[in-house]
Amino acid sequence: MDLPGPIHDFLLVFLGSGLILGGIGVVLLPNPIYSAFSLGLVLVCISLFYILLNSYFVATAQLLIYVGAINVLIIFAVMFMNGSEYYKDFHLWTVGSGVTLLVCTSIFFLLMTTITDTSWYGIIWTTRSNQIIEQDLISNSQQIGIHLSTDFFLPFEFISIILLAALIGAIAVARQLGIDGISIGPILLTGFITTLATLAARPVTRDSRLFHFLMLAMYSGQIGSFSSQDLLLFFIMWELELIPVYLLLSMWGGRKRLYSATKFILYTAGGSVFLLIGVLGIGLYGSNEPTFNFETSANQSYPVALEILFYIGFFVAFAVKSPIIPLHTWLPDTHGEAHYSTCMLLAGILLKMGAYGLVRINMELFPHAHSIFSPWLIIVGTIQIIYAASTSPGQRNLKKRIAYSSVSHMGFIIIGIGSISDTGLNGAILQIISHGFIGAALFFLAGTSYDRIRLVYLDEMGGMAIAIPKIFTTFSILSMASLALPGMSGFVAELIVFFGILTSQKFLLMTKIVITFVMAIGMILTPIYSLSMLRQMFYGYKLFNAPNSFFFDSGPRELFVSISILLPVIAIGIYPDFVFSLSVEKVEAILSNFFSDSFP
Amino acid sequence: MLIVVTSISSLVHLYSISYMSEDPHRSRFMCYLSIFTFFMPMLVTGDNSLQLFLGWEGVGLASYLLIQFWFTRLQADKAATKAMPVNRVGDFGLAPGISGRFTLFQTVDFSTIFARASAPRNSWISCNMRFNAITLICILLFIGAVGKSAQIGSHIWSPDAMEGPTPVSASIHAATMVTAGVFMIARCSPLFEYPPTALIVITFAGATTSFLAATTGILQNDIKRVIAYSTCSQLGYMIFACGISNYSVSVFHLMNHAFFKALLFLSAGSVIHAMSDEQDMRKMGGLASSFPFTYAMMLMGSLSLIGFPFLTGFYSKDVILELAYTKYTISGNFAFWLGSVSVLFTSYYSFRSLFLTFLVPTNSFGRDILRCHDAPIPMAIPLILLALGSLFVGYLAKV
Repeated sequence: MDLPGPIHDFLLVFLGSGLILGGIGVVLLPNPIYSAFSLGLVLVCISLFYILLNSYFVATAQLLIYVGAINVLIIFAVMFMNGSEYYKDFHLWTVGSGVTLLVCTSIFFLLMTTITDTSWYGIIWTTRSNQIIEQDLISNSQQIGIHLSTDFFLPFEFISIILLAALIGAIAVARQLGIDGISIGPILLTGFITTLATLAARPVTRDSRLFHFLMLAMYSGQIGSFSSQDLLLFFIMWELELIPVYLLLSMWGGRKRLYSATKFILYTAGGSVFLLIGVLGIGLYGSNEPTFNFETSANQSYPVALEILFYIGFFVAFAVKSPIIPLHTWLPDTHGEAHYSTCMLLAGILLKMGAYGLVRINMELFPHAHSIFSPWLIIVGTIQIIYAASTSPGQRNLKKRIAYSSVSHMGFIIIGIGSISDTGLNGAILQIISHGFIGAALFFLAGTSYDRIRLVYLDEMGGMAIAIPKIFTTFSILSMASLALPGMSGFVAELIVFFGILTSQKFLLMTKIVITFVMAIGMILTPIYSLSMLRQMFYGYKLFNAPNSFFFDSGPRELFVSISILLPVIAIGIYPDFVFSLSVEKVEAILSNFFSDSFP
Repeated sequence: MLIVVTSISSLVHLYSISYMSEDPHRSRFMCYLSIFTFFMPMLVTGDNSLQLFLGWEGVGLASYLLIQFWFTRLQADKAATKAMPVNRVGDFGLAPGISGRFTLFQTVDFSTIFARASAPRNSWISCNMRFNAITLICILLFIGAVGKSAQIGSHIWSPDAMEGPTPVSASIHAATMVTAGVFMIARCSPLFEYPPTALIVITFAGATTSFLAATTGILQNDIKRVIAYSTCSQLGYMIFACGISNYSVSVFHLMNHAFFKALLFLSAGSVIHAMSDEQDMRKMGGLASSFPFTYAMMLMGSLSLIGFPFLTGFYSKDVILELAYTKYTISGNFAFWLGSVSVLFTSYYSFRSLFLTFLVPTNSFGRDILRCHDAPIPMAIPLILLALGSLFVGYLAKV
């Protein structure tokens, strides 16, 4: 880079000092995570140095390979090991340390003398025959390419074979990833909620490295399943969720955590069997070479009976995850016993994976079967809204009450998917995102209240509003969002689903009217449990035996998490086009399948 | 309508500066009042049903927050938790009404809906009766108004809503929020003109409410509850005026009612504040000599409420009754008779409350009487302005 002299020197000194400090940090920091991150700093500084020296290709290679692959692997291994006790022994000085110090110092001095004594300009790097070619070259990359294919041909071939083997292995696993209008919303939601959930869990006092590793594993599983364009990859990512949730639940959960974790695993794994059968069936159907790609599977038409079979198979798996009654009973236990950061991920994202799967696989791949089953979907969704909203006031446990409210809100998504109208599907996607925010926020606030008061049963709580006014305010605002107050995203989502049912061309007017009325009953039931939950927790006047040292209001961290969720909720409520602009075209593309001329 | 809302809200804000001056949470109270003052004009100025619904739910939220303002008092919490779902039952009618209009007309914009609403066209036949879609939609919208305006069937939240501070009762439950239902019916009047069945339903419901609320009001002992039932009854008047297709008279009565009812509530609040938060009328008495100013205000408000000739109430109440009399249908006659009997009960309970509070020999504790003081200036100015309104607005604004 042609920078003026002083700036160049300054950058040199700055990067050099960063490098040296990072190196010292790698060796001397007691916590292995910190030293792994210092290694990353060193490698980044080296690549910046390469940029200063005009070697862009090497700098990029450094970043991609060293930082992106090798350092990540090191951090992965360190986090997984979770050996938090080892670093306390680092201050012992052994014989091995003395020998290493001697060797390293002598190598250092040797390098110093050798580098300064060599005359670099005297070495000719090219042979005669290449000099004509080199006069026309201007960029580094081209020069490196020339040298690799002429002087260093044999090593290049050798390394290429190794690299090729590695790449084939990686491709065989990674297959195809792609994002379109339906998945971009959930992917953004995942990133947002996972970050906030990890922030919400600070400080993790027990096995924190394993906790964060499991959070990241769940993150990759969720993003992987939302962005996979390949059925087998989808299945692998789906399964990737199971073990982290089991561990998160059983290590950091409440009193009945083992029971809930086992229930979760059995339900979800049982559903996944059907998923695997469906995936293999589609992939191996009708052709000699198995193909799992979404595009080709979507363009292929299956006989109706086969479609129905596959549809039911996939539907069972997604019904467990979504959840759809009557397969929802794992959810109150799991959400009731998990730590609130896990609950945020579960309620915010995991449930949406089921709904996303319904749209992505059941609607795109099996349009005939979907239009046969859609009336049933609508009926089940409507019943789900009312059933869950009626069960929720009967819960004594605060988190179980919010869990049933999650089940109730998922009913709207099911109705939107079953309505086969683009308004309805857009509304379902908006409800996916809106409920992701609201459910996560409610669980977060319930968890922070539990942290203060250490009581789970609502009838033992009361009168907290005076002591924790900020939590009271945010809890009230988010309960209002949950009961679909206009001006917030929940209302827009439910309204658009309403309109979706009404504008659907597939159903008779009478059924539409009946369904609308039953959904409106759900509108009456929702405030009942939300407001009575608020009343039981916050209003009234009660003296507590809770030790006062825990009973302070929410600090900046919790306020940040609550406001970070509240702002998108209100923004989407006022301008829902933020979400609709992402999903409209893809929704149209999916639904054009249903209304094409060849559709019976 | 905006004039009513903004003027009453500003006077109430001014009043509550002084009324809530000893309350440690007065900043939260002002926030909640401002939330209300935001949503009500949004309801009124909306040109499509969605914005109206936004304002509708928003004022419901504001009333919930304000009723349970003193949330350590369990009665207030129970009242608020009763108010919100009962409002939602009303919304159970309003939301399908909006959805029904969307299905029929594919739009939520008011001007488009009114232009496209023609004679009944979508109908279905069952049980040997013909149901028109437009009838069903109007009845659903009316159910929404019932929930919000505390008509018969959903009237239960209004008396319990008196748990909130008095400025809240004045602004929300007398003058503005409960009139949102009437406003919605008047706004959608081109739509309501088409189904005669819906209009008959509205008239019957309004007349019944005015009668029943008035009869309940004569037996109440809490001064604010008397005025609350009086509000219910007057809203019944407005609703049945809409039912007999005179929407502009109904809105006129709405405007007049806002003034004198807010005056009544605020002066009752002044009395309560002075009597150390004593609300039971049987424990007051003989205050006419202690609070001559408040007594005069309350007398003016009551006279206006009962429709004393040439005061404000007269110009709208009398017109409503005349119109009901001259509408030669069953529902019109029913409304006329019930409305006239309600006038009797209205004057009975108004003067009963005046007597018990101000004119009978003293029934209250000595310490309250010794410490009482008449309204301070920030509380007096809104009262004076509202009294001027109760006296003259009817004459000035009659057409």
